[in-house]
Amino acid sequence: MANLGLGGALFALMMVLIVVRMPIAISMLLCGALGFGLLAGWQPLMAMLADVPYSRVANYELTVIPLFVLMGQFAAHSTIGSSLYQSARAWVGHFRGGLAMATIGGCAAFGAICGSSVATGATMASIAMPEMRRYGYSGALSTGVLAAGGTLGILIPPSIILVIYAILTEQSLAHLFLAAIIPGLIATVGYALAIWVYVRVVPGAGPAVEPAPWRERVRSLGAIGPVAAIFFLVIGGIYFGVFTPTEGAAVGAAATGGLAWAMGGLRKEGVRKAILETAKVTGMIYLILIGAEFYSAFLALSQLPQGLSQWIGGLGWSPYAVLLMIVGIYLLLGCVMDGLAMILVTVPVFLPLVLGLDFGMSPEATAVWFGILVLVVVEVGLITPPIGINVYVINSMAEGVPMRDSFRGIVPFFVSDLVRIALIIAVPTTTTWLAGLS
Amino acid sequence: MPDPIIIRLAKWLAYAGGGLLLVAVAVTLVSVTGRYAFAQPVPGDYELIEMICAVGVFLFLPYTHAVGGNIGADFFTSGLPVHWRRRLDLTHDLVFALIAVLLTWRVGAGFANKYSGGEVSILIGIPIWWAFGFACLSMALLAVVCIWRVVRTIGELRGE
Repeated sequence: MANLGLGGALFALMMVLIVVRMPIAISMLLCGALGFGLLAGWQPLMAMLADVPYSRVANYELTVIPLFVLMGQFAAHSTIGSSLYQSARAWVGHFRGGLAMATIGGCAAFGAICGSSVATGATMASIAMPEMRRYGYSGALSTGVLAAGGTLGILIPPSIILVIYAILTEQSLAHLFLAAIIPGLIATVGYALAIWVYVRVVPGAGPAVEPAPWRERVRSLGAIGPVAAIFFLVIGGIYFGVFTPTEGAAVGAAATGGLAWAMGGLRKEGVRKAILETAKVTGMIYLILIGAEFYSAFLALSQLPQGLSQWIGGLGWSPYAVLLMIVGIYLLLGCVMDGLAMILVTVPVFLPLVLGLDFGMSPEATAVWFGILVLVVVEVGLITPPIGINVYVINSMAEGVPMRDSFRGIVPFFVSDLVRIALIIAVPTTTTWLAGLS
Repeated sequence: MPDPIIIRLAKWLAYAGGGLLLVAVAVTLVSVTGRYAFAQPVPGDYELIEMICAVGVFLFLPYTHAVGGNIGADFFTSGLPVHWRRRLDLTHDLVFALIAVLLTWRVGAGFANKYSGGEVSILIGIPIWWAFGFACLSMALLAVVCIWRVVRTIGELRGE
C-alpha cells in the first residue's frame, strides 16, 4: 500500500505546481512521468515518452476536437451570432429585461454550433453589449447575462468538454450529446426566469424596448433555419450512425464555414483569425491531453482511485450523500481550477467511485448522468469568483463596468445553476431519457 | 516592432496546421459523399484523417505557447508583485523547456525507430515515420519557443 502514499504525495505536488501557475499540462506531465518512473521503472518511462505524444495526438476519436473548435471559430468570425441575437430580440425584446433574455436566446442558439463557452460569450458580447448599453441596461445585468449565457456554449451540444469526458470514460459521445439537450433547455429557461426575477428585484436594471412589428419578427426567423439545420444534421447524423463523430464535426465545420461565408462576415481576414484561434485553443487542449496521459498511467499504477473508493465505501454513506460530496468538491475546485484540467484530474478518480454506488440505473446511464452533472458543475466554475474566466473575458469587453458589478450580476444565474444541479440529481431522467438509457 | 522570427515561424506553422485541418474536412466530405452516393468511400479514410489531423495539431503546439495559450491557474499568484511573477514565469518556462527538450529527444528516438522499422499504417500502408518527423520538429520548435520566452523574461527582469 506504499503506492497510495506516493500517489497522494505526487497528487499534492501537482496541486502545488498548479497553484504557483505552472501550466496545467506541464504540472500533469511532470508529476505523472515522475510517478510512472518511480513505480514502473525509468526504462519503461523512456519508451512511453517516445510513444505517447504521437499516439495521443494521432487518435481518430480525438480529431473531433480540432474540427469542432474550427466550426465554432468559423461561426464566431461571422455575422451568424448577430442574426441569431436579432431574431431573439424581435420576439422578447419588449419585455422588461427583454434584451438580456434575447442575449440568453442568442447564446443558446449559438451554442448549437459552437462547443466553447468563452467563444460563445465573447461573440455574443460584441453584439449584445452595445445594444444593452444603448437602452440603459445596468452594467451588472449586461455583463452577468453574457458571462452566464456563454456557458450554454459548452452545455448545448456540440461540447468540447463532453468530447473529452466521452473519450476519458469510453462512453458514447452520441449519448452524451443527446443527454445534454434537455439540461440545456432547462438552463435557457432557468436563465430567462432569473432575469425575470432580477429586473423586478432591481428596478431599472433592464428597461423594456419598443416591440418589433410582427412582419419583422417572422422575417427574423430566417436566420434560425440554417443554424437549426446544421445542428440536427451534425447531432442527428452522429446519433443515427450516418457518420462518426469526427465526420459529423467535419461536416459541421464545412457547413458552418459555408454559412458564415454566405451570410457574410467570414472573409479572408476572418478565416485567418479563425485558424489562429483554432490553433491556440487546440494546442492548449492537446498538450493537456498529453500531460494527462502520463498522469492517468501513474494514477492507474498507484491504485489511488481504488484506495479512495474502498475508503469511501467503508464509511457506509448513502450513494446520494457521496454524490453530493463529490458535487461539493467540484464546486469548490471549479472556483480555482480550469474545467478541462479538473475533469482530467478528477474523473478517473471519481467515476469508478460513482459507478460502484447503486443509483438504480445501468452503469452506462449512470456514467452519462454523472458526465452531464460534471459538465454543469464545470459551467458553474466558469462564472464563480475568484477565477470565473467567463466573467473576466466579458468584463474586459465592457468598458467602465467594475469587476465587482459583474460578479454581482452573476448571482441570479448562479442560483439558477444550483437549482438545475439539484434538479438533475433528483431527476436523472432529464439526462438519460433522450439518450434512451435507463 | 515586427514579431521576432521565432513567432513568425510558429505562426506560419499554425497556418499550415489549419490548412491541414481544412484538407481533413475536405477528405471527410469526399469520403462521406462517396460512401452514400457511390458506395465507395475514400480507402483508409479514418487513417488518413487521423494522420493529417495529428500533423496539423503538432504544428499548432509551438504557436500556442508562443502566444501564451498554455493556461495555468493565475488566481493565487495574481496578487504577487510583478517581480515575483516574472521569476515564476522564468522557472515555469525553464521547466517547460527541459520537458520539451526531453520530448524532442524521445520522439526523435521514436522517429528513428519507426524509420528503421519501416512501420506503416494498417489499411493503406502510409509510413508512420514522416508523421513522427513532424511531431519531433514541433517539439523542437516548442523548446525553442520556451527558451525564447526565458530570454525575454530575463530581459524584463534586467530592465526593472
